[in-house]
Amino acid sequence: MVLFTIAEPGQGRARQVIRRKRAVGIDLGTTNSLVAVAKEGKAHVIPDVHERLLLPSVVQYRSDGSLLVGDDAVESTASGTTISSSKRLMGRGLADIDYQVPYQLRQPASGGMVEIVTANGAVSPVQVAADILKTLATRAESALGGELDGVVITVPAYFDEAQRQATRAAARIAGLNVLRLLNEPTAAAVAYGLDQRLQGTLMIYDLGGGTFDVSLMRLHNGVFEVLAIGGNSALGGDDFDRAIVDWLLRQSGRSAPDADTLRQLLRKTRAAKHALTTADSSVVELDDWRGTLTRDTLHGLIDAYIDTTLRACRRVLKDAQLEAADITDVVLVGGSTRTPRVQQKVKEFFGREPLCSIDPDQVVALGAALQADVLAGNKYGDAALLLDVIPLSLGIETMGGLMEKIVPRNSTIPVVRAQEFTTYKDGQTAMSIHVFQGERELCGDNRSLARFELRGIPPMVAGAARIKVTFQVDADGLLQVQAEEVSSGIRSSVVVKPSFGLDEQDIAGMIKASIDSAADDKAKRSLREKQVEAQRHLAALQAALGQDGNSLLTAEERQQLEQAMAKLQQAAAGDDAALIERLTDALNAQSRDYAGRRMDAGIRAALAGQKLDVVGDNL
Amino acid sequence: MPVTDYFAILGVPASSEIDRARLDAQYRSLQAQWHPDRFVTASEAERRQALQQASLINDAYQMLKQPLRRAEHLLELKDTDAAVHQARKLEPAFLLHQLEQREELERLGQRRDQAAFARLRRDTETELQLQWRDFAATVQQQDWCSARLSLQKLQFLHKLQEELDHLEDRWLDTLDN
Repeated sequence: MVLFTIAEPGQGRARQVIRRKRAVGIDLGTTNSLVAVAKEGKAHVIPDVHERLLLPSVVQYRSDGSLLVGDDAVESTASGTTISSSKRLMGRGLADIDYQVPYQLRQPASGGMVEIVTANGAVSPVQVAADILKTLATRAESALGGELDGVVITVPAYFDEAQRQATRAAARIAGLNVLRLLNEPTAAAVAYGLDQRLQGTLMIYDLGGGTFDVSLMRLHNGVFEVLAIGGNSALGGDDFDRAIVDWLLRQSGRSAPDADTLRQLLRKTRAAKHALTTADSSVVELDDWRGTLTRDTLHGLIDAYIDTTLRACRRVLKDAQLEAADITDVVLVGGSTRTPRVQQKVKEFFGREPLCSIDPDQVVALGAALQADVLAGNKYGDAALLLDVIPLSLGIETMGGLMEKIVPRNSTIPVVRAQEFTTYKDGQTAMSIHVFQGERELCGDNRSLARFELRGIPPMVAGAARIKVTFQVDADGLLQVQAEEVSSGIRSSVVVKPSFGLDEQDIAGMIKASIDSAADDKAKRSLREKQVEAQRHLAALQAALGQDGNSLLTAEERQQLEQAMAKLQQAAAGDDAALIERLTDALNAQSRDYAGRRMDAGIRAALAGQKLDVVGDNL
Repeated sequence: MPVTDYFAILGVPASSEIDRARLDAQYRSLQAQWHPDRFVTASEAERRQALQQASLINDAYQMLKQPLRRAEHLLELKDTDAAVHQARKLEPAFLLHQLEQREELERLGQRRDQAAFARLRRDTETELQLQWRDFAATVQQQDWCSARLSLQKLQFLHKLQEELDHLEDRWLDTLDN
């Protein structure tokens, strides 16, 4: 083949020694998010200053424009709007949301993606994701000692184009360079394949808070081939919780609760569910009502959801023309696979004990980090190669609103497919190409991605023109569609940005809004440094207080110190670098006396022959 | 335009039967060489070329790993008298039998008759096996005319099998909703 001899791979590439690229993997989860980094085929999750690995995917927006992310938002007692599980809203319109959320939604006048009403105005789910990404990036940058060169962000395999574009937009707003959006189950397989040297045919069963994904993969000598994927982008552990909440409401004879009660109910539900992993029943109290949730009742409430996931597994097997017996290993991913009932039913279905040797909460981020390292060009030995597929069929609308599939789902990418169409009217000089994604026969039931026109077709009788429509999906999963009239050579093309996502103007607006001095990278970096410094001080002080705060400080002194800490904590979550610096200095001044007392205590202890390590490094 | 020879692209012999393990291994090793992820630090031109090559390799693999598409491609390459051979009509008995089976499919779909469904699936699979043997023999003898007829029958039978799959999917779907 002539095609194969044009150039040798690697030819002409510069062979200079360059700085190792700072690339991380981010699992932007429905419930929790993580950031991990890899080196030489080994990955680890980057903790925050409190050694916490998981960042709750929760953001609190407050009326003064400030915001809290993660545990700070979860624990916040201040007033504001707290948003959780907003990943389910990514790339979705109000009409798509057919379940209750503990905050108010609205459809923007311009149509498109749903917005969340907060104490600080309407916020897009993209903005929420961007705020979570920013927090993780800051964490990674302070751990790696500099700005990130690139990130791999994971998304559910079943995310459609609108949801993927929304995720990319969030990354842009957060100022991150996206090397790749990686499917979550694929990332998990990479982690198992590289870390545990697993080989064979793997079924990755990924049940998260809001999404279910299943991927069938073949791992062979460092080549990871996705055979088929399936799932449901609106099914997850949250549904278990909601089913239990509904049951509690029915049992206690309550009607539709307000947002606060709903949140409280969810907390109790999760506690009860957790208790049932070891106990046979759990008592739930709601004001004056008291009921018992048994394990059997729980199974009755959630089995239907689990059965739906198993049917998706069967379909994926069928797509790959394999049987359950062909599977070498079943891998469990996602926090909701900790539910014993899920493990039990998966085991029954596949007739084998599922694997969960890598923490199901971490495995996706670890795999993403490994892939980020490869894509950033940090080469080592035999880097893994991932052969991924597209999750949903791509096609165009033909006469009668029918969907003509051009690239079927589960096609390995990159892929280029062309198909010819023709005109249906005499003298027709233009043709509208409407691109859709989905499996249904009628375009109206699928998701519209883009629309463009091919103009200047030479007038001919109906059916004489030959319009070649070419779909190209690159290794990043980005779709480009081109239409060409073959006889005249006129052509037109579009890089698909789904009409359902945000338009460029929206994104540009958010980027501008999110970074006060948009063009000023220096200011941005200085802000991050100040945030990190503040967090370091807070952590050190917190640790010191835990050791000897009560013995070395009066109750009043301690209270004053803690007030100053809370103030700084709040400021550090915001964008005001000057304020963070001022409060950090103030806290330093205020804690100087305490540091002195600790030093004295340390010296006394040393003189008494005891260890010195109680003296904090930073005090 | 000359037909792209997917057998040559993947470096496997052009035949109706294929050594699947060898096909898979060839595919993996070519992708390991040409996949765009191997060219992240390469020049724009190299990356574009990698994209084209990797797409072509994917196409070839998709084509060759499915028996029916492989058979179609084989005749596309070998049968130089396609137009003449395609004009030949299938025997009425075969077509009549196909018609009956399709009616049976429609009936059992409406009644949701699982037992009859399993029977029809089994029958179809048996017929497919016989027909594949027939096809391989005609290819062996380079009897492209008979091979064309055999391929047409295979296409009918595969279509029936696909419809059986669709019906099963629909039954699974109604469980989901």
